[in-house]
Amino acid sequence: MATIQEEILDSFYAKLGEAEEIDEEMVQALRALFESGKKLKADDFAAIFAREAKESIP
Amino acid sequence: MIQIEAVKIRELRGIRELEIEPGRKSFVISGPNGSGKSGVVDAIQFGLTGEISRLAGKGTVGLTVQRHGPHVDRRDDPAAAEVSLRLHIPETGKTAVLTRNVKTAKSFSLEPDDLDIRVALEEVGQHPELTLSRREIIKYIIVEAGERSKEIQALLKLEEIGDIRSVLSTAKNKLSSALTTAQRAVSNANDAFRRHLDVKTLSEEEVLAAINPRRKILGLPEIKELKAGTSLNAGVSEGSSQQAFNKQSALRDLAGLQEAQAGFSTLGEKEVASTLKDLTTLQDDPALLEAITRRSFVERGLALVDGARCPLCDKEWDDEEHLRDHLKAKVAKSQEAETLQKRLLHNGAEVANHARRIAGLIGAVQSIAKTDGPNGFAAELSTWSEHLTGFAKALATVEQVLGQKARFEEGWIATPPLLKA
Repeated sequence: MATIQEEILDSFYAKLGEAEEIDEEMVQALRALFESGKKLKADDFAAIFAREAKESIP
Repeated sequence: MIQIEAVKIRELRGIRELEIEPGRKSFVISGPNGSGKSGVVDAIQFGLTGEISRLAGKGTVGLTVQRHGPHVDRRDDPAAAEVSLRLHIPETGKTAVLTRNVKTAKSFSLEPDDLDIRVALEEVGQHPELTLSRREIIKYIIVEAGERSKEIQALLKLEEIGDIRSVLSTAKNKLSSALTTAQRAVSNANDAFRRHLDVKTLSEEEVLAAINPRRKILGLPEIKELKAGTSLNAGVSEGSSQQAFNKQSALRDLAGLQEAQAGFSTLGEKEVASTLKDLTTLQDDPALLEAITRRSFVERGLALVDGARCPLCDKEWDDEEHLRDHLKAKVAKSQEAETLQKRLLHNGAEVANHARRIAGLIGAVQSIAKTDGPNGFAAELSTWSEHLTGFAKALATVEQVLGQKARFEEGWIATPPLLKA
């Protein structure tokens, strides 16, 4: 059985999937980031959400 | 649901040996202080989860199940401390005996080894809120209101969610800031483009109506559709590297600057007044300035926390969570400083935006000033533009805004004499 934390993450992915401005590729990138076990950094998230702009965020 | 048929405890906490048979029913344990009542709760929790919550959490630094789980007389013999639980799952009608000892607390034996019972036990392990001890229930009642959510978050193993929320919030701020900068750049570029074409809006119809007559004069084919990648000067020969001078466009650029100049006296007036008031407050209260300086320092430190060692002073903490809590408390203390800091930076960003817009207008008229302006006017415009661009860049931090106080007082636009004339 999933932990509450895993359930929250699953519903987070589901919500993201419903958002028009977020594509499946972006959700997969987020999943990969969470599952990588790396320390989460704001720049990593910013890079994923800004990937369509193909520009780095200062 | 798991029902407990029987409990057998050996050398755990304050209990040497005890057998009880709740018989799948709710049960009460009573006895004088120190007789080991809580030890029974600890034993059941340990049997089901491998953990004893009384030995974890706030105020339990240095306590471990391995070291403090066994009876005090068998402290060096964790293998002797053992709990057996005869469990029944009503949904499946299955019964099994679970045995776990402190030496190998992470694992347990199950006889018979039944998958349904293992699944039920795994659920309990992942949901510690199902096995709350009396001490924990009391803790959640008496804890300070502000701390209760943190304690419950820790109980539900949601600390990571809190961290993720914080990182996402920082990412959101970064992206919002990048979006604002991009929107301003688009707005300035749109203004310049509208002035150049002398159109009111950038609708396809209006832009094409302005472009196609010019293209016709040059003998270029008409553009029928405007798309994101459409080049309006497609077909124009590279020719001379020097850009052609467009008198009408230049005159409009000049008119744009003159129009803006009419509003210079009130441009950013409210933001400047508020900024000067805040800067005076800061200068009158050095402690406030110090709080702001320390706040950004501590915030930077908080973002750099990666383990139990403080990135600011190298001090080793018990664990990362305690260090984070300590730094967060420091940041929270400077609430007044934060409000002032936010206002200063917000007003600074507004003024910087005005400055960049004027610099954009100046850039547009520099070419006409070089050829047709009074002597020295182009150089004066260039200096003015650099002055405004430099000023806009110097409003990003509270310290920088403080350094620009004189410019705010003297009039930050600093219109050059020739333009005034």
